Amino acid sequence: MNRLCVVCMLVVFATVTSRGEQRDVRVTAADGFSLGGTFHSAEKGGPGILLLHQCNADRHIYDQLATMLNVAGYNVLTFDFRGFGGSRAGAFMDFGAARQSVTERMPGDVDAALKFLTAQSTVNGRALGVVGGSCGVNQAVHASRRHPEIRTIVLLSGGTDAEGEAHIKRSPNLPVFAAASEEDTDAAASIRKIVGLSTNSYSRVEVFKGAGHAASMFAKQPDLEADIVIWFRSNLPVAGYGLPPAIR
Amino acid sequence: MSRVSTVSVLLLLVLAGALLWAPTPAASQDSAAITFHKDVLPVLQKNCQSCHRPGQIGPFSMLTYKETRPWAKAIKQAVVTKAMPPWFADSQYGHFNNDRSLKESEIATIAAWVDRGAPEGDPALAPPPTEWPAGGWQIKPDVAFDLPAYPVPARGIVEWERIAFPAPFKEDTWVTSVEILPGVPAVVHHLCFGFQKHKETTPYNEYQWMEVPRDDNGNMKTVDGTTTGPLKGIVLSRTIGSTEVKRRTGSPTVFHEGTNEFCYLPGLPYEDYRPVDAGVFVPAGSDMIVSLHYTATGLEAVDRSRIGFTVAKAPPRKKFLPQDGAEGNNPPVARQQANATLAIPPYANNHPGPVAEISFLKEVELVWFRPHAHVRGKTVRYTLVHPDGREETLLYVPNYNFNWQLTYRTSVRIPKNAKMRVQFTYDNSTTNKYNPDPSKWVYYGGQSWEEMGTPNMGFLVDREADVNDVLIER
Repeated sequence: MNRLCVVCMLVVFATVTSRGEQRDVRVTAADGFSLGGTFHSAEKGGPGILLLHQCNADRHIYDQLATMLNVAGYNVLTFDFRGFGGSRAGAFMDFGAARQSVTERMPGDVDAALKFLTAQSTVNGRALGVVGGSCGVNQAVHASRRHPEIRTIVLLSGGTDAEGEAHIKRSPNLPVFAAASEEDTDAAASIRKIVGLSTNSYSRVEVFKGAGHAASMFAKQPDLEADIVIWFRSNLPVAGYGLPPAIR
Repeated sequence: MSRVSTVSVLLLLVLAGALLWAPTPAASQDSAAITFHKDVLPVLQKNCQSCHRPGQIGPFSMLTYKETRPWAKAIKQAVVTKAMPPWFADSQYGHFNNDRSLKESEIATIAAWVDRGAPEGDPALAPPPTEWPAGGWQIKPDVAFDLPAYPVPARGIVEWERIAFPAPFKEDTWVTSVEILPGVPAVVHHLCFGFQKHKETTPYNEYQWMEVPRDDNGNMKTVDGTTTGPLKGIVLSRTIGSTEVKRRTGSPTVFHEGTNEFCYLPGLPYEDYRPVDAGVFVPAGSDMIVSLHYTATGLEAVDRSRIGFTVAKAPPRKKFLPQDGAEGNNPPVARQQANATLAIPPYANNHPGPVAEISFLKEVELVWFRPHAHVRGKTVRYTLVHPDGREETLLYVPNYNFNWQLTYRTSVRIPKNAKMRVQFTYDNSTTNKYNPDPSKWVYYGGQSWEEMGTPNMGFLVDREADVNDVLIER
């Protein structure tokens, strides 16, 4: 099936079954910078999932995945890192020109996004998941290090630093789903390494051929988005029974 | 070129084109082969759409091709591995007339459809759409009852509560099917009820529950040498819509003396006795005693659950007789809680629970099993010990799943003086992804972080049969 057909089909799918409310939002970072985002609220309340985009695209690369996750019962927040999409202002008009300062601010911006997400009335703040693509992979891993409420992470075509690797290794309760494409050599090696380090018996890696990089793989692997949704349904249950009880 | 020649050339070109583009035998087979509308949709309608449609528990809809296609690979994976439809009985034992497993031919159809690129095919070949009852029901209720809105806190322990209502029937009624629609499934651990004659001491519209002494981990403390909850002690109560909690010493006045006849449990579909011409008799003037167990998940919720009933126009031939984790000691089921001795060590991955033994004092027809344990439940086996000592496994569930507490429907004649032995095993290890804390000892208790091992069986007896002294559990 060609790419156009897949895109058409997915657009129709989104319009047919979408049932949550979707709205554009502004997330205020610790330094006051305003980040553009889109929040999909789950009709009956439930876990929250944060989607971190790769550094050659903006948050809209996750539009379809966000809709599918939302239909499956999740609250979903996507946001633009500084210099992308709706987060271009002041010194951050272009990622390429401000790469280092944007990268330095990413952890804080991720925390601001998580704070925004968990402040929403439909979000169960103790049941969170994160998807990271490419440059978002390291951010996703470190977000789970800082926030134990993140119960599972999905990593697309990227790696993490030594501190992130150590965190993965000492986190038996953190299932990791990772995917990359074989010819994307470094990314494939990195995600294989991360899953290899994981001490959670459910962690798994999926390596495609000729699929491209990070969320761009969705175009050539249209089943990958469905796999991610199924992964969350298995590892971040919407019914709540898979969570430790909220006694305190 | 003459006009005839021109026509001839054109005809030749058309013929050549037709030959060039004619399908090879294999391609012909493919084009006529498996498509969504012709082959796959009938399988989905019969086996999947009850959950996979808007408003139901499935994570996506399978009503149309456009909704189904993005999930094709996931669907194949789920059916080939038999993860879906959910069915957990070991096929070596017993025969179940509600077996949701797909036939091998149905699995092969779906797998072949996905392998060939999940083609849509001709919509004209699709079966007519299934007409699902409105309002999210799977039965078409004759009578619907709305439970009052229940605010569930974000955190803390919500003990089992009971509340009484007048039964929603004006005259003697045979209930033939029941469906309970949880308002917020995430917070409903169980919602069970039964009918009993109204007593003057039973207040309506008042939640009652017992104060349960618990340790810092939320585990029930030992009372009088057992870990079962007290039926005498501090009774707490509040009226609907009020937050004022009253305390008194004594016993609850909202209490079901028999067994719960109907339940919602995670993953449990509706109960329907119409196929076996049976029902539950509800005399006029009965009360409906509802047992509620809500669980705090971390997010405040307001649950508005509904109960739907179908009722018989004429009395059915058989009477349904449940045996569940009854709280009382009254007929037809006398129960002693074998689970009181349950103690699961830390990190044990296959701990055998105590054996429940149920003796049959009369011949009965066993029509369903509905085993119940919590998140550490691993396996359960029902073994019938015939009067001559012969043992027969009637049901073995090798992968018990709290999120799918199914009813396994059967029809087995249980002879007088037979016994049923029921044993659960438990996984308190780190490999159990639903285990909240493998480092803790786990004891019997009503909360999902505690454990149970309740056999739950259903029987049919003649409509006029005396249901006293049918069976006894030890």
